[in-house]
Amino acid sequence: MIRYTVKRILMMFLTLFIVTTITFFLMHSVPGDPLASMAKKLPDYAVQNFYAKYGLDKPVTEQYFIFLKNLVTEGDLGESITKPGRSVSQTIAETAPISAQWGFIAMFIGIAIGTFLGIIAAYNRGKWPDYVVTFIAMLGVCIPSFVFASLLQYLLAGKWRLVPTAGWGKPIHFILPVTAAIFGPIATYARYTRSSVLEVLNQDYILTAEAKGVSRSGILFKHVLRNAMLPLITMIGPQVAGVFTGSFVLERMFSIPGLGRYFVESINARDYTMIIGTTVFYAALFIFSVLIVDLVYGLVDPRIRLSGRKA
Amino acid sequence: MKKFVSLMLTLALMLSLGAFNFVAQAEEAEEAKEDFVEWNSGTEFTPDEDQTFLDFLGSEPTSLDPARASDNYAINIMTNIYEPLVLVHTGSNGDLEYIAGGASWEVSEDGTVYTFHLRDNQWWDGQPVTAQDYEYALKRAIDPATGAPYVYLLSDILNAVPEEAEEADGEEAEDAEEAEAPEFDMDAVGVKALDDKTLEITLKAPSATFLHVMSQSIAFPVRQDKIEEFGEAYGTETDKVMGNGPFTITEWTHNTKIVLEKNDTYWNAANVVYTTVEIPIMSDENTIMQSFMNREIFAAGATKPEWREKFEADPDVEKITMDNIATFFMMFNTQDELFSNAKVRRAFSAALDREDFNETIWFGNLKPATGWVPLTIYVGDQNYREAAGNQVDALHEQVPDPKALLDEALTEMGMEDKIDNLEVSIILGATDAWFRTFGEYLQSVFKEVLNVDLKVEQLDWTVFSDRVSKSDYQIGYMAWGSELIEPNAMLLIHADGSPQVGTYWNNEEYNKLVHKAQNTVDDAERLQLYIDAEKILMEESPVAPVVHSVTNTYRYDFLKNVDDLVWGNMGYRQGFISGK
Amino acid sequence: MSDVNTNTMATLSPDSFKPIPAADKSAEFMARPKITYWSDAWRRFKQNKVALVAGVMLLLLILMVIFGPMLSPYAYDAINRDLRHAPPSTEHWFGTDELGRDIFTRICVGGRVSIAIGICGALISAIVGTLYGAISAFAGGAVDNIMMRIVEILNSVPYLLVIILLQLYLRERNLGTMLIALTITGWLGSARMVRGQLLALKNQDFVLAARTLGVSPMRIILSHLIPNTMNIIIIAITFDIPGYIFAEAFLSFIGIGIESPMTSWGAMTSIAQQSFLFYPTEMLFPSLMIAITMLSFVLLGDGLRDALDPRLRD
Repeated sequence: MIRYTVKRILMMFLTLFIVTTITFFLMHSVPGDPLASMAKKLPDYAVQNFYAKYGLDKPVTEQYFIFLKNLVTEGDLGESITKPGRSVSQTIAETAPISAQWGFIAMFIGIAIGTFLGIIAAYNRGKWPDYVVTFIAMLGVCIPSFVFASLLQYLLAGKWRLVPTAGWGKPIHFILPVTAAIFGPIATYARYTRSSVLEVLNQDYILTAEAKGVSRSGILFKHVLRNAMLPLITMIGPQVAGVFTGSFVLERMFSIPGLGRYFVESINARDYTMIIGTTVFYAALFIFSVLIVDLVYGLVDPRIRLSGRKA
Repeated sequence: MKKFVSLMLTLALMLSLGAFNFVAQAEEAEEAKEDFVEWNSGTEFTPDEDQTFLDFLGSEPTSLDPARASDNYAINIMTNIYEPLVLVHTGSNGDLEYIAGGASWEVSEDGTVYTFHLRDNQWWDGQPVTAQDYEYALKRAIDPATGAPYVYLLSDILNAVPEEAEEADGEEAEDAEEAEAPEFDMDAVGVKALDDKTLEITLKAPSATFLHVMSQSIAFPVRQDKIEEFGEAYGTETDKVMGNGPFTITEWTHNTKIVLEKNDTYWNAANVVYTTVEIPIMSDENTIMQSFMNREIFAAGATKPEWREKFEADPDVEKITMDNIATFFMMFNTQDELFSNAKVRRAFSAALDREDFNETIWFGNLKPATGWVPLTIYVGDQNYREAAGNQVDALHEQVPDPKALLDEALTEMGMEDKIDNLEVSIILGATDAWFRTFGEYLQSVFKEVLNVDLKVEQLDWTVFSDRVSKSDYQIGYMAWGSELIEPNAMLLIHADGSPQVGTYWNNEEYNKLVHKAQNTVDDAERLQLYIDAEKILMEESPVAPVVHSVTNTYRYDFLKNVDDLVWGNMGYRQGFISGK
Repeated sequence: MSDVNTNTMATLSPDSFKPIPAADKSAEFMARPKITYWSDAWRRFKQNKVALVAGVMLLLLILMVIFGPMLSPYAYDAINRDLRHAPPSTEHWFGTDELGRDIFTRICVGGRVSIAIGICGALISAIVGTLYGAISAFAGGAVDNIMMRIVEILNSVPYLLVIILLQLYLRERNLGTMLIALTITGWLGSARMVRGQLLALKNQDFVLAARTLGVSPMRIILSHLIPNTMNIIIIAITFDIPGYIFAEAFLSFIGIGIESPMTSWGAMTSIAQQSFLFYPTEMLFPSLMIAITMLSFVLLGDGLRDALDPRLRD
């Protein structure tokens, strides 16, 4: 187990390195540069000053090695090109927690409600609770989040004036984005839970447990949930990374200063350092959460033998 | 959309200022202005108790470092936290007027030496503002190591441009590797603090735009010790910026909200009425409109007719309509095989019904173009457009049947097989839904009138400008503006191969006319030269003007005495809330 | 025990046995006709009325988007400035949009794009993902490791960045390039999921049995492992289809969806979102179409799941 984990962590760095390299060169090879987003046709000497300032006058490979060196030796992701003076690490440190704050709240509420509804639906298969849950799940899957968000904004903020239309900083600002964002997860998790609980309920060991006289709740918590949660764990991993990088659309609609907004803006403005910084951050988070999921998976599912031990 | 346009306008302003060297008369040399300015005079002054202004910004300011920030949003904020030497506001006769901000000034006989006498003003921390602060700020902006994007605005100043760059001006710097940062002698730059209160700026030659540049953000003062203390991070946080303007910045939650508080140590604090300005940052139009309805913000621009009706029905809301000095236009790449033919360009331009365009796309908000030069441009006292007449109508008269002209041109070029089978592409510099509708409208128009299949490419602005500068497009769409009263800033950009717009159109006769106009003093004669030049432009149609820009702003009528000058920089210095 | 055996042995003689002619199969007679996996699935699917209705619904929807524009007297891109934002009426069943274009016709035309992207995208990602995940899970060891690292690398580059970069390269935004952009990372999810499911199945006895009997790895994947993951794959597809329809809508929302004059439900929704507060029906109809399509796919998927799950076979 430990050997396996160490191996995976080493692999993680290799993966990160490859992702960074690919992104760096891809980014520099697409048309458009950061100056174009500011103004056109500056006199040559102004352009040269600017390029020299950010090292953009050097060949791309040299820029790459400078970037790597700074990253490895100082953990420095560089300075944003379009937002002078703001370091990329600092921007991520400021914005990612904001995305995470509302994102995690939405995700956890969504998962909790979704799982709960899924279990209820599975236990009442074919009866009305099943249909109600299916209907709710359907709504969540059918309505794009920006449609739902517009509706909420119109009703809660426009018509009834219960909450501010947009903004960030007070607890009341959480209401709109979180509500808009939880329907997706509710729908997804309700459906997946329902089907995997149903599957587990068909297994022999449940029959065995029932035959042994284990209580209903005992069966639910000891057998059904533990087994039914497995497929869900694989889903959560990648989502955790997504939460940190935020939902661009919702963050824009509700004026939330999260990483999602910064990221898309920086792609459009060709803010190279910001894009690469965010990508490295996202990739690291992603790989890390996948690793955690795999480890947890190995712990909770005895059927899986992590390859480190076997080999 | 709004953001896009304002970006374009800023850009154009910068360019027109940079290129402008027209009225080089020293006669405008002004007497030193020392008179105390009472900004809210002439208005019935009955301010409410609560003077909290709720404004908004469409996007996060990039930085509050005057040398390095390059966007309108940053300028909006910086204008209120820094005190420039010169302020621009609406004069008593309604025109643009330059008044003393941080300093009064006098100009030498030959118009090349400006002497600024600083007022007694303080930085936020109580230190006195000195001439050395302004000197440091200007030299820092000029220093190549700073990498200030708009450094060239200061090129009127003596020795402010590296010599090599000056020589190579206009030519392509092909060997970029050799172009090492030019040796630069900061001591030779014509900016000098004579003592703590006197700043002397020497120009290369007299310049009519110099005072205006001194009111712009590139010339805002900064404190050397603060720049050195915070380094690259200067201007990124509330505690990493030091100003001397009428407001201090007390909150800056990135991408969310900025709060300004009145600065009591400001030299004219007695005349600043707003105590607090809250500025949330929001970009979604519906959100902005909703916020305005809820009075969470006090002013907003509206384009949708539904919102306009709503606001116009509200007795507390007043509408301010202003002609911007800008034209929206389609441009044709004259290096493209098809559009190298003037007849093709004319056919495409004549195919557009400007009236219908304005009604359909802008809901009648703007004004159909009547020529290339915008509406509010004057030569002497004569309104240019009135004198030049409606040249778009003239085009329609000359080309009653655009389709026939297109077919004729295609035949001429040996492309008969393309008749009724022509595909052209247009690039648009924004990717939002509004521009999607815009493109679909154009597709339908060109199909109907010219039987041409139009391919619409929506690109983000960076890619758009890249494609234009590489001459890799057929038709483009942009806006161009000028803040100068004379037509020449609008007309000069098409001269000498028009590298700035990117049509690569070059017409000897046109070049001759506009350059001659530059050196013509007589108003009537100059006017005629401009008109002749514009006629050639319309004749050759490298660009097809579509509409003239208009700004519709709605604001609650408890906002009093707001300075509406488009290019003014009074900010929140002027105005107050009364009867909210 | 041993007594009995000895006794029986004693009474047996070669005369007790006689050869059966090869032609006589009556001894192997089956009480019921043989039912294959697929015919059984079809039989059970037919019993599921809800799924059938959903299937019919989808069929109607597809017919509508194909033939709808022929029923309508309006072209999907015909602009009518005098009839902007018209409410639904007998002339314009769903009303008209910002430029006075008939929304019904546009919904049909846009539906083609949305449904095509949904179905093709989901199929591509399911097929690629399943094969990739299955090979990875079955091969195990170093191969699995490398394959999963590749998935991780592709997955760790933010989705939006990949799509934007790809579009800048392809320079076109038609159906084909949209599909490429959407599926290039879209299959990763199915791959991971299938692999996870197969890892659990791989060590089960029936696989071990098949392996012991010398069945080739490919055959084990195709005829044992994949059918046993079918329910998961089908659920994934039914969720992937709306996923792709939404992904397209999202790209349209930020302005990098399918190129004009083509439209899609997503593009229509996002344009209507701008004036949603004034003309809710303009947003309602495309959203409703997405919802109905979704609903049908989900119910159909449910039916298929029940029908295809081998463990539910009677």
